[in-house]
Amino acid sequence: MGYEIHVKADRRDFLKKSGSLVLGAAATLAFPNIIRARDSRPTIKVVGTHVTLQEKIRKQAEQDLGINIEFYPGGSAEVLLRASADPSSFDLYEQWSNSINVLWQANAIQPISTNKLTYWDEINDLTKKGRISPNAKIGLGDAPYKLLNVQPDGSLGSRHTGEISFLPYVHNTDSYGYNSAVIPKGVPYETESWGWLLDEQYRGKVALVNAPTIGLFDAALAAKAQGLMEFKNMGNMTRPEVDELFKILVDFKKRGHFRGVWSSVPHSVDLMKSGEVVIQSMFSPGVSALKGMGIPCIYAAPREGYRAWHGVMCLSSESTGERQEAAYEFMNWWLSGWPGAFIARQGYYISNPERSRAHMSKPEWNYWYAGKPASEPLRGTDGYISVQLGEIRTGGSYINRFENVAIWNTVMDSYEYTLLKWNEFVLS
Amino acid sequence: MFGSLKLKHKIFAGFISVGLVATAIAVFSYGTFNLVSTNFRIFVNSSNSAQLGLLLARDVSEIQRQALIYTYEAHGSAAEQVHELYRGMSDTLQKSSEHESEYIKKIRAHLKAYMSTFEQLQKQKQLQHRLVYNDIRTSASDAEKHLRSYIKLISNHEDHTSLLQDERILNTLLLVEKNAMRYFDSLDPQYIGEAKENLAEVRKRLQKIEANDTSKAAMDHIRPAMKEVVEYERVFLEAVARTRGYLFLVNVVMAAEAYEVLYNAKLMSAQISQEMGEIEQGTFSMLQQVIGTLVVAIGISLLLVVILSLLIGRSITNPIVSLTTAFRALSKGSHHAEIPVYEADDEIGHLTRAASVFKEKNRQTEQLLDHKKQLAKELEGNKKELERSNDELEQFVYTVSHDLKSPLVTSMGFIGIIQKLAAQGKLEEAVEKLDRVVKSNERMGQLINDLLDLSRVGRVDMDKIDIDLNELLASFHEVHSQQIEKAEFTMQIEPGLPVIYANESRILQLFENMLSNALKYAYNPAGSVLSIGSKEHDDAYLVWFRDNGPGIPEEYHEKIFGLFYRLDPETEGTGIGLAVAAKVMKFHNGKIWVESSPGEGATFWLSFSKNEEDSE
Repeated sequence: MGYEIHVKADRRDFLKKSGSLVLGAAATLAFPNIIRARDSRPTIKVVGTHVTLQEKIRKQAEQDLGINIEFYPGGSAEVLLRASADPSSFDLYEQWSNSINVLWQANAIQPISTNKLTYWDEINDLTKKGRISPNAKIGLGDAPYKLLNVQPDGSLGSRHTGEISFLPYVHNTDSYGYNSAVIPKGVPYETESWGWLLDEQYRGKVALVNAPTIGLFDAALAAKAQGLMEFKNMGNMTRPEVDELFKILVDFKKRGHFRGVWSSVPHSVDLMKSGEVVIQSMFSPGVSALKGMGIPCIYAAPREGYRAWHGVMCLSSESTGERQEAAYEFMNWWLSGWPGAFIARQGYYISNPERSRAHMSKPEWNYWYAGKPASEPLRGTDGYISVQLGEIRTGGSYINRFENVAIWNTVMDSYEYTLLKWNEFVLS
Repeated sequence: MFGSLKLKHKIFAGFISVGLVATAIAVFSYGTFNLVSTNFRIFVNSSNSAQLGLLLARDVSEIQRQALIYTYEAHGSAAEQVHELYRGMSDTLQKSSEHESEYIKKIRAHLKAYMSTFEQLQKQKQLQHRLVYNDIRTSASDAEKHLRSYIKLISNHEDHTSLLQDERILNTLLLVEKNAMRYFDSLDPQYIGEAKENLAEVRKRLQKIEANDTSKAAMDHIRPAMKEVVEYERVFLEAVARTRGYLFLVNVVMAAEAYEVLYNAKLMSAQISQEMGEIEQGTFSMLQQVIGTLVVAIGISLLLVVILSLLIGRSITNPIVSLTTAFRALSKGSHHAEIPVYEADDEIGHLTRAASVFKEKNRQTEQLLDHKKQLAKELEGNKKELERSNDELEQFVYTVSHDLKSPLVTSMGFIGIIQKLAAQGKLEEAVEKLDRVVKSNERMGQLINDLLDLSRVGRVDMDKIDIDLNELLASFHEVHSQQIEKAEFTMQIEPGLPVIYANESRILQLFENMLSNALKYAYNPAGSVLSIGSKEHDDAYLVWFRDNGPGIPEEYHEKIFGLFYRLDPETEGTGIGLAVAAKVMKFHNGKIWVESSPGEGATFWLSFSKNEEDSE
């Protein structure tokens, strides 16, 4: 899942918190069913992760919109459970596209009318059609465009209907990171490969992210790159394929190939910092943190393509009336330019980038979106220098990166089964 | 230096040295065993920690197994087992807090997170359980009850086809529950879709009935049925969400935490095993070194003991052996026994000094014995002398009585004759006879004078002086020249005579006797010569008187020095002269003897000691 944040303040242990459901469950039960008005202005509740539920964004939105906004950030699993189990606990849900099926299946969210989205026409083809450019790979799994449109039969599909399941906004690509002090530096898109994760020479020093909807695809991409197995559709594996993949993974694990799994970005940083791991699934904030510590961690551009993620903003099935209108205002605000520029400085992309361009300096745009060397040191959202002069973003430009998407984070039909197998893998 | 030590100090030094070595070995051994003991304690602690790692690994596997049992089977006892295992593991970790390592800290943190997640899981599971086994069934039952009531109401006036369709709603409603339960049993999301489709169909049919039937009966039953169906779907989907939630918790979050516990426990055990191996290896190496060192130390100490024993033993036995030998010799009276040099002021030193004292005593004893022998010899000599003196005395008495008696008898005879002649009146003849009496008396007088001279030797004129014999004899010759000429002798005195330490009167008496003796007995018709000379022999001066007379037979060489002994009784004299000479020489601790053969003259030798003290 994407958490490419370049500021230390946003390096949160999302998966850790995704497991911290005590508060979540309590909060779920404690959520008021009636949204209180404050200062006669409408108030909306937003649940999501720390990636987008940032205080600066909330304050800016309140200021710009004149509404009250309450953020309830949490771990991805926590907020998904909360939202799917209790739609009345939120108005807007911010998470990843792989949670859409769960929410939609749970009737936790309602269709969003594109007519009410001011900048709908500016949203690029990545989300609308599945390709950022005509030559781009669509990517396996739940590519966002497949889940975007609400079909007449109530299902989700790619055909435009005027109603969508989520507002396309923040997205990014993920891959693996490796310590170039140990592993020779590869050539992006040429020699760097997901297969490195299952390279025997790194035995005992490999880790995966502890999330079946993410780490499983890293492992699947690695197994395929190593020629260990083929998938009919890696984005929606059959049970036999899941069995075969886990057989391979368990076999590797029993031979001591994996150090283990990491459950938070700090955990991933510790593993590579301590030398326990030299190559692993990584999120952008972890790579930045390691670089800041002087560890030459390279965020690979695998020749097989990235594992991409797409943020979704969903409207609660319980949100109606004034709150629903305020929620639409907040969604439109997100695509109005300032928020896109804000999160661009944290390494994330917005679905209508041109609208944000006006809010970014030319060097910022060139570095974050155009894939050019930084012509000056660039500051992150915390005000500190996050990009040094001359630095180039790995993987190139926004277009380059999203032209090379191998797969999207996906909740497969075999989700529950993968959970069981994941347990077996982790403890084998 | 060692030899100068006292005996007890040597023994003490030996014992102290051995004691020091033994103490050093004991201290070294103590240090070693202390180290081994420390290592053993560490080893035991490490072993306990390693066991802790194994226990944690075992328990965490079991706790996850129980958690999974609880998750899938909803067995309350499994949840209790999870809590029980957690408490046990927490207690175990608490007990090991003394030796808390980074691994223990991590294990504790992961275990805490694990348990916290399990508690969340329990809540989700309980909620899910209520939803599945209560709420869903309640909703399904209520919806079914409303539908059945509606069907019962309309059964009297509805056609058969409509009834069948209404019955199908009930069947579809049952399929919802069936599919829902299939999902919760199989966790296959396919059944979620099917259940949702069933619900959608039920809703659709109810909506159709509601649209077609506006009767009160329809309103009283279809609307509540629709409400229950909506609630049914909400409850079902919430149950699905909570199912997925706890599945995620147990299979992803808890599995990862459990694995981290396992991983750290294994690392801890591996590290401890490695440390134990190092301790074992270190201890083994140390013991080998210690054993080697101890063997060397014991060898050195034994060598030291042997050397010290030898040194001490030899320092004790050698002097004792030497002293024994010395004492053995001393016991035999030797004063030549070699006393060993022993300077120490100890018992052997005392013995050594005692031996020296014995040696000195022996020497003195031997001197006394020598002196005794000398005295005995002297006594023997004295005895012989005394016997000789007695013989002389007897001879003397006999001679005196005989020689004195002879003139007396002669005198008395002549006196008788004179008396007879006087009686006969032959006075002239008698007077003539008186001369004979006078002569006899004169002879007796001469005898008495000579005896007096003899008795004076050694009693009077005892003073001794250095006498140059050259001068003395020259004067002697001059004094007696007429006498010598009268006797028709020639006296020759050789030069180079010695100076002797003697009594001059006695020496002159000696020379006079020698001269008188020669003149009486050494007449040589061819010309008598008496020559006097001397020579040195050892520590004595030998003065000789040599004549060319008839000589003296050897059997008389001793006798002639006897009192009143005369070679020729016809010759004038008393026979005392040579006896006096012998006594004078004796007085001077000298000797006199004669060498002579008949017809070849005689040489009288006079031996004077060169040492004045010997002449005393």
